[in-house]
Order: sequence, then C-alpha cells, then structure tokens
Amino acid sequence: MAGDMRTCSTRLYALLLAAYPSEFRREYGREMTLVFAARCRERAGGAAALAGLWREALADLLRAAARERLEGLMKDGRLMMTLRTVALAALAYAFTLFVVAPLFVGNIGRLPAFACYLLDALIFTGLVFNFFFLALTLTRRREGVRAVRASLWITTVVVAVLTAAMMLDTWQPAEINLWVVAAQVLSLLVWHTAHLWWVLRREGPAAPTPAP
Amino acid sequence: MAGRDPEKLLPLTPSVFHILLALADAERHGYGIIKEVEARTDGRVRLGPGTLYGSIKRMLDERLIEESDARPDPALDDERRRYYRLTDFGRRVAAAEAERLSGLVAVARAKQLLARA
Repeated sequence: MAGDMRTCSTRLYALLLAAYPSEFRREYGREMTLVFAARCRERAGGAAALAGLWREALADLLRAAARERLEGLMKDGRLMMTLRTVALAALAYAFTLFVVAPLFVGNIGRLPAFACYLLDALIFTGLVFNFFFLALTLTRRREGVRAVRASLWITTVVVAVLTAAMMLDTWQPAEINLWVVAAQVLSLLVWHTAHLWWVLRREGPAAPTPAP
Repeated sequence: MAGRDPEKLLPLTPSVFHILLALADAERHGYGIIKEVEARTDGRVRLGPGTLYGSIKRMLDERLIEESDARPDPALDDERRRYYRLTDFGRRVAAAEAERLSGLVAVARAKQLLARA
C-alpha cells in the first residue's frame, strides 16, 4: 500500500515537471524524479509523511519552475518577443470576439444558427488572425509556434471567464451567447492549426531554427 | 578560465554555497548533495530537486562545477545518476565566499553579537 502511494507520488511528480521549460526538463527531469523517488522511500509513516514531502516538493517546484521560466524569457530577447506575441493575440482575440462576432450575430439571425456562426467566424477570424500572425511570423518558426500557443491560452482563459460569469449569473452579455463563443473557439482551433501547419511546412522539418 | 575573478560571482546564494561545500571533499550526485547538506546542517537546510538542479545548471554554466565521468559500481549505486565535482575555479569561488563570510562573522564578533570562540 505504502509502495503504491510512493509509486503514484513519483509518477505525479514526473508529470508536474511539465511546469519547467522543456529544455530544463530534458536535461534534469529524470534526475529530479530519481531524487523525489528517493525522498519518498525515506519517508516511513504513510500518507501523513508523504503529505509533508508533497508540501515541500510543491513549494520547491513552484519557486524553481517560476525562476527557470523567467530566466528563459529574459534570455535572447525572448521576453519582448513573448510580450509582443501575447499582446497581439489578446488584441486580435478581443477584436474578433467583441467587434466582429456581435456584428455577425445581428446579420445572420435568419440562417441555420450554428453552421452560420461557424462559417462566418471561420472566415472572419481567419482573416483577422492570420493577417496579423502570418505577416509577423511567416519566416520565424519559433515565433509562429509561440503565437499559436499564446492565442490558444488566451482563448482558453477568456472562454473560461465568460463561462464562469454566465454560470454565476453575475454578468449576462446582451450580444454574445454560448453558440458564438463555441464557434469562436472552434474557429480559433481550426485557423491556428492551419497556421501552425503552414509555418512548419514553410520552414520544413530539417530547417535550422533561425536565431531570434 | 584562470583569469576569471572569483570575487565577481560574490555573494553566492545560500544554495550555491551549500552545493560548493558539499562537493569540496568528494564527487557527489544530486541526491548525495542533498543528503550531505542536510546532515551538515542538522536538517535545517533541505534543498528541493528544483532548487538543486536549477543551481547546478547555473553552476555548470559558470564553470563552478563539472560533470564527472567516473561512475560507481552499478551494484553500489544507480548508474543513471550523474556525478558532479568542483572545478578549480569553483574551489576558488567557494574559498572567496568563505573569506567574505568569515569577514562578516569577525565584524559580528567585534560588535559583540557573537560569543568569542
């Protein structure tokens, strides 16, 4: 029983190492897991002892992962690149969600609902997003991937906040309904996937990563 | 490397200094470093894996330590573990930090914050 808990703890810890930058994880992840497993073996006393170990491990993980991430961002001007990417993604998302989508909701009321939302959203978010991102990132594979990732994160957060607000009934949007949000999310996924495919295809798998 | 000034890296973070001290007398792997630090400080300093390997990464970059090629007998230890040892520069930096701390302790003694040895 205690052995099972230790094994599960070690596996969970290995999963949580995703909090570190991939480069760091590749270099030290295996050894960190070995250290954690050894720590688990030290702790006799079952769940209470493991809980203490987890408190220490989580505090260490949060502190160290934040530091490694921050260092990674500060290196080679990546911070500015990331800020620019996130800012553009946020602007583009806000524009499509709060300007483009409500305009179309008003005009396509007579057509079959979801298919139309999806079609229009695909076309117009595609135009807006890909105009920004393709123009900026066509020749920069890494930045393209980061743009896609940042946009998906922003989408997830915005949709989560909207959904939570609707469920809590603290905010009832007059113009935007869940179908529109769903269509937006789907369109983002489709266009970002296409964008990612395009950027990677253009660079080619064997192409060296350009210096930032 | 001989031209580098150890003073430029001072003051060291407590984690880095503890790791340098742990490696001053022997090559050790990560878990060995953690155990040595814990034993030496009566359990008051407990390095987590993230803090340890984050420090190790920076210390390798600064050439304070290096990976050792030596591997123990697989029957005695896990051969997947990597061992680390001090470089000459790392030893000089550790000595410089010890001098710096020693100076501070002398000041504390002079101001009667510490009992005389």
